[in-house]
Amino acid sequence: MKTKQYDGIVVKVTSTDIVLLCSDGQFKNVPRAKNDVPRIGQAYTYTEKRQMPFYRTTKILTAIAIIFISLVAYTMLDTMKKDEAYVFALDINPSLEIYTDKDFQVMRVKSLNKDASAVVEGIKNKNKALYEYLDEVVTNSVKKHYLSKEHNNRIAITVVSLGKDEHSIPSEKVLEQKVQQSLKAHAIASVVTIRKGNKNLLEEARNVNLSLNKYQVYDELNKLGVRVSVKDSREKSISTILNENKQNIKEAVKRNKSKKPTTNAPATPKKEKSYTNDEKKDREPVQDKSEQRTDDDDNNEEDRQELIDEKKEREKERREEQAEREKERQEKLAEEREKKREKQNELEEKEREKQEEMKEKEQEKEEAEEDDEEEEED
Amino acid sequence: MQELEIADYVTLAAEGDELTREKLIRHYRPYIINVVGQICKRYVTWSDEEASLGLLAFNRAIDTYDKKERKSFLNYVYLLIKRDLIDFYRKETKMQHVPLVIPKKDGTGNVNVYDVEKSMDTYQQSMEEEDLVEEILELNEVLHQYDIAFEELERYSPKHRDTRYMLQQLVGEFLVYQDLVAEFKQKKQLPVTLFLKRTGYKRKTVERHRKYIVTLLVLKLHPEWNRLSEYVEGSARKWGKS
Repeated sequence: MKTKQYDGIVVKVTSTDIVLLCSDGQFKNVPRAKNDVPRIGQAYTYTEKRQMPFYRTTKILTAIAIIFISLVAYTMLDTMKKDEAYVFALDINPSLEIYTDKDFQVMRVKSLNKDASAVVEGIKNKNKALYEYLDEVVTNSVKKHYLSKEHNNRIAITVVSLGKDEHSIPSEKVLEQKVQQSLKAHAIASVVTIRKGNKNLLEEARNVNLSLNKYQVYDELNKLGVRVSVKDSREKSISTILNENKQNIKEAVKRNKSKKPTTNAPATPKKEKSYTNDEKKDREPVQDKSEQRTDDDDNNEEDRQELIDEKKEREKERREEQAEREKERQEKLAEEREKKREKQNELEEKEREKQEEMKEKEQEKEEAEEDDEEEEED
Repeated sequence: MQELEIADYVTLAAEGDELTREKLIRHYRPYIINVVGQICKRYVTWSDEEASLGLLAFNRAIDTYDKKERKSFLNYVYLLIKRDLIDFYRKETKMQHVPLVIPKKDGTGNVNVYDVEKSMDTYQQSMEEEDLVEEILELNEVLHQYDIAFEELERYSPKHRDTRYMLQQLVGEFLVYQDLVAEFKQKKQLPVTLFLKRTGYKRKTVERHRKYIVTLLVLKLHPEWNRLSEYVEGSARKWGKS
């Protein structure tokens, strides 16, 4: 704390202050102690303890307070954001990402394509239970003919936990049942596949600008050796992608099995399982999912046999195709060579003709000269 | 009022000139209240009993002051006030049967009669300051005409040394113009506009320090106030040299 000393003479004593005329000529009111009544004209020394001015301390205090409050607010906002606990990626063809909190209350919905925004339009999503919301999405999709009796319908849902606790995710069965319920209400049959994903998968999907479900399909198809372009998978619905590549998928599955004949049914990837289910559904309309699942093992045995046969056929076809292509190439090459030869021949002929013409002209000239000479001699 | 004049005024008043007596009382009011406060060791206002006792004592001092005794009037006034106050306290103590120690009116402690005696001694030691007191009282009276009280002056005082020096120069320039000085004396106002027209000073500067400038002018116009002038000019001289 700084101190400043004022030396001066007392010129007046008031109830609160002593007025000093300081030796440097300035007047100074100094606070008076209760029982201190100096004489007028008396020399007086006052030592002022300089505290930080009030306004400055308040300024600093307010600044600190503001920083503190903003920090608190920031952390609060941060925790608010963290409340988004799960993402439910939904693909019918409309691709949606539904963000919910821990209690599966919808917080926000991100529509990934035009169809999705059309479906989502008019559904209030704030603080609605997930199942309720899914039901409304299904209803809207039916209304807008994304789901219909004629179509080969397919609903794919992937659940991603954004937080650390994955154990509280609703079981796949429950989720599937709920969706099937809302489908039944519209008397529509559809394949419902439900998977669990993780954050990495979500990021990868975002990197290639695909919805999570489509990315998974795309990824698995590529692993199987079935070539599907990103663009195609972005534009087409999952069911159309699968339908278009049905043959390829079957072959690919067979190929994989022939490579690893010892692998058991449970070891085959989940994805394949859902495809086989799909095949079956093509033949017979879905009645009850759980029953089908009990028959899965037998079906898989038969399917494998079929797939192995198909795969062999496919390989043969491929070889034949390759052979044909090579033949075509060789033919093309041969044609090109002939063309070149013909061109060369033509050129050579032209040159020969020219040379002959030149020779004829020279001969004529010589003959003419000889004639002239003869005339002169005459 | 110089020493001689004071004595003359006092005799005039004693002889029955009521106007002079009024003048004297008005002139010495700050002194009386200050002395009373100092003897009582607390701040005394005019509504206190001691203050009226002091005023009565002062009135008596006018009547009984003898200038041939070679005692200053102020000293005499001080003596009378002190004596009356002591008498007053003695009476009070007699009534309360507590000798010599008198409880203060505000109940914050006691006034010891011996302390009062002692303060008298210290007062006599500093009798040289009497001139200064006289000057302060006179300055107070003059400033009152300009509607200035001492306690206001802090607000108008320059805080920096260079500003103080600048104001000294400003006052010096002002004194050059005799007509302005005459107006200043007559109207009891600072003729700011006229002054600003003749010099290059800014109105803001003058307005900010107006009352301090008036005080400086008053002091300059009363060179007979040696002690006070020392305070004000001392600093200027220091600056003038450097």
